[in-house]
Amino acid sequence: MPVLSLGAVDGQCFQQANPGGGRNLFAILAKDVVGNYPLPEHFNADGTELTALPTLVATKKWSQYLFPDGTLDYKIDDSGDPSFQSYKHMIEFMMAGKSKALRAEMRKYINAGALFLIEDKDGEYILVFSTDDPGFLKKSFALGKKGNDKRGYTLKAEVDGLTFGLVTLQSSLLATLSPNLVPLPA
Amino acid sequence: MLKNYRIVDEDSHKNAGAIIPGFGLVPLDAEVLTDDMAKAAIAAKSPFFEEVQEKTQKTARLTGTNNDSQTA
Repeated sequence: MPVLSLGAVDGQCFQQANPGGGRNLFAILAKDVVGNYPLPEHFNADGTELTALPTLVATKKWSQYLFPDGTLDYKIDDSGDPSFQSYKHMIEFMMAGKSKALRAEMRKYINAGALFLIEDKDGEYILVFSTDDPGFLKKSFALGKKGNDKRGYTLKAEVDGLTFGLVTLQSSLLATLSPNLVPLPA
Repeated sequence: MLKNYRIVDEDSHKNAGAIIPGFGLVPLDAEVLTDDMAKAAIAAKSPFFEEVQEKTQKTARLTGTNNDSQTA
């Protein structure tokens, strides 16, 4: 493996907006992905983009989750001692309310790992977790004491030991992605 | 509404969406989408849209005329 020496990088966002937060969130169970994803051959040369989508079990699709504004977060840490380092992914979001549909969806995550795609404010799609190390959501529900206390689910998952950090889908792949959407209101 | 384009195998895309350059995430619903969106999707090599062939339209019209004349 060649040594990749450091280069000069502009870490400012001079005259550019740099907003945080996600625009869309999609999920799929690791069991609904055929084989392992992502594998080393699914990355571009510098490991910053995925050049292939996962092969999904027939009829399965990524599912869209509409989350309350400002509740989605995604973090990556490099963790481990030198020579033992790998990546840690963390995702957190909320789902407001307690509808039967929401409860039924939350039930599907018992002992079931998932992968997530986050569309950020640049319109780029970030892959969270892998089939080797899927995220197991910890769900906590709060009824709220009264009034405008937040009633709903808070969902968190964190997994370490991943082989990749922040990676996005190559833009040419997006046209072939067809997730299940929450139906438009009638 | 789509006029000169159609969604490939529309029935299998119930409640599904597509990501179209310049438009973002949109539902795969012929009633909601426009020809401009389908054209942009095809340009991005989306497999979910196809152009309605003009020849097919003419053939359909001719067939209709023949049927009408036969009926008459």
